[in-house]
Amino acid sequence: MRKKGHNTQKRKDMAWGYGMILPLFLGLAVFYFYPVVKVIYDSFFNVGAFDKRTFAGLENYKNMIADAAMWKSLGNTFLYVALIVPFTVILALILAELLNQKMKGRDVFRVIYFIPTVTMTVAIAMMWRWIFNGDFGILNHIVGWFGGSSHYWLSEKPIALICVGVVSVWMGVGLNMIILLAGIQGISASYYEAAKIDGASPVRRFFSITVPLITPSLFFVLTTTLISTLQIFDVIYMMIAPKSTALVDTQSVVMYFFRNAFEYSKKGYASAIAVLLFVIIMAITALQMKLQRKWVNYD
Amino acid sequence: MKKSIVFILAAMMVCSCLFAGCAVPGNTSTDTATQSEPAAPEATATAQTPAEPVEIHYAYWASPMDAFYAECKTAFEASHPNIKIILEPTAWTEYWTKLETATTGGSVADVFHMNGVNILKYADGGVLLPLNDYIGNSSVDLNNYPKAMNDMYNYKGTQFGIAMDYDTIGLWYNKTLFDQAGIAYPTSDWTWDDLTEAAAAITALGNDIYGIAAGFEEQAGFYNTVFANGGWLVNGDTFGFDDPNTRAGIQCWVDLMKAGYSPSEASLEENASYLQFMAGKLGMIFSGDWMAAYYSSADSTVAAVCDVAELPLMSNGARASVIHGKANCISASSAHPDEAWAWVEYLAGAEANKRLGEMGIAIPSYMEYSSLFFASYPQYNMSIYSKAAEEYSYTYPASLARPDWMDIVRTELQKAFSLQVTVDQACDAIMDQLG
Repeated sequence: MRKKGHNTQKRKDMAWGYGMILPLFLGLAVFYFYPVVKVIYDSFFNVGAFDKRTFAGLENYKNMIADAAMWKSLGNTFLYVALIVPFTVILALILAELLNQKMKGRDVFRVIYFIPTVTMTVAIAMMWRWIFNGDFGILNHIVGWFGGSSHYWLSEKPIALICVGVVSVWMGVGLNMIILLAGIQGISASYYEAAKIDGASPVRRFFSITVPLITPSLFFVLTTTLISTLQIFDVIYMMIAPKSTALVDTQSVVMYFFRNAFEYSKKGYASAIAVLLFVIIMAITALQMKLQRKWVNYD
Repeated sequence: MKKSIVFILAAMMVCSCLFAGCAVPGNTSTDTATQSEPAAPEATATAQTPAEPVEIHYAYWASPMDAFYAECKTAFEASHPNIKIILEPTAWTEYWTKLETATTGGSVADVFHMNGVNILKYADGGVLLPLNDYIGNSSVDLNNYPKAMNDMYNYKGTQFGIAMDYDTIGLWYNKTLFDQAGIAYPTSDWTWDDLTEAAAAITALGNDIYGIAAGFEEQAGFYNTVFANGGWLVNGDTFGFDDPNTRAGIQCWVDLMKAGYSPSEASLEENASYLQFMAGKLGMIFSGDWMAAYYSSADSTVAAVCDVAELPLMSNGARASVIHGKANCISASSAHPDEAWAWVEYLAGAEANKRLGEMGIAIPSYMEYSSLFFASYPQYNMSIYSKAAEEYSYTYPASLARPDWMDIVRTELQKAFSLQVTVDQACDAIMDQLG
């Protein structure tokens, strides 16, 4: 009798629990799980304008493998990763450490570095487009003072991609810095005191105490930056004019996906591209999860 | 940070690349769902009380014409108390994405704007209301509009849209720079060689001034010279970039680039040619009639010293101008096709076209009122635009089979305009992809 009562209570609690997470779960199901399944499903169809579809089997995947423009955009994406991820993470770590020191105007600097994160990408892109403008941009003026030659920064082949990368780093540093700063502040002051008594220099304290103890935050920052860079889209979309000569040399996979889906109405093919990117990101992330055992301390 | 939290967040981000695939239509369909929400109780209300007006949603891309639609709405609602027009402007860059998503989702506006690039897709997709019967039973006479405009919105014998305006291309020039270079202004007898000479003389003035904008442009660029040269671009699912006449119509622009008479392709991409012309940096530019509003505006430093002439004759003695214009189409899924037609009929009629001409925003497609637009710019020789439409206009090219053809052409030809490859190499690359 007593046992039964206990069970009813437990069941009641469970019902409450499920009831509480239901709204969120419904939201996830409609806007998250359904689209994921739908994209995988669509990748096996030819989906034309106005959702007209015919079954295509593996045709989209076969076309994708033969599509030079797709591989080019995938290559661009990895160039972005190579450029953006290390710089964002290292800069964020250095800034977090510096802004953890006791100094005047510390809060002002924290806000300044965080501002790009809360600014609209469109506004940022507009501003940088003027800075990079080949005829009137301030960058060419500054380069001119030092005797450098002018460039059409956003129209020339290798430079345009680097410019997009620079802006992405500038935008991404703030948020990662805050996460790392929170991690650093969670480290007990006693470690530092002990190290100081032992005569460790600030640099030594940074590498021997701070870095090992914030590896969980560092791992998080690294993983999320990597994933978001593999999905880079909005900065390119806003900074490189749709009719730019540099488009082919700067577009990422997601950008190429977007153009296929929404400009050429090839949604089935676009879905196949999305699935490929999904597999790539999943593989890289799984690898990271495996490797973290070697360098991340969770206690 | 907890290990499990890191794992969950990372897993969610991994999936979000697929999520992104559906995010756009997902969001848009919620947008349109909220848009159509007020219409639902409206519909039931109409059934109960017929006095309640029917709502007709009118979607278009935002442009200087917005003021015209607002005036038309006021006038139309006064004469049609049973119909209420809901204006739904969208930025040009998002217009087509939004229209297609809304059409697929069945929540598209009753009446919407169409252009020459997209009409084939929409007509072929069966999402437009055929207008033949409506036109037959109304006062609309298609002979009042340029034939090229009617043809553009006619798909396999069915009329799917009625043009509102049309535009052709002319040669604008900066008189001050011509005077400084000591050369005569362009005339109707001008040939491409005359244009090249003038461009050379103006470029020689130095000081970052160039003779002409010779960058990659479609409607206001090589399309015109290709047609004038006897070349062709698209015919069904075949493409004309192998034709030597087509290549010659592109080569003449690249020659200007090579000679250095134009700002570089990169410069023209980063700072649009019309802005450079308005800043007094260019001697000549190919522009449509709608640019008169910009060139005469307070932002233009050349408003008082520029004018427009006919496009030059090519070496074969021919000239050509691309003609294009937007049209109103009715959605096949509209719940109120008759009321939607009433609005389209009004916009196609004399009153609306007269207003459009008088406002000086675009050339009204109703040819009788075209001259009203030109009268808004008495300082410029605007009549060359109607002459172009009547005497040597070519319909804006479009392809149903290859929606990506324009991107392929742009990608390859921009390399030629940037002087990285020759025109022949670029055209061969185009045919490799489109052949």
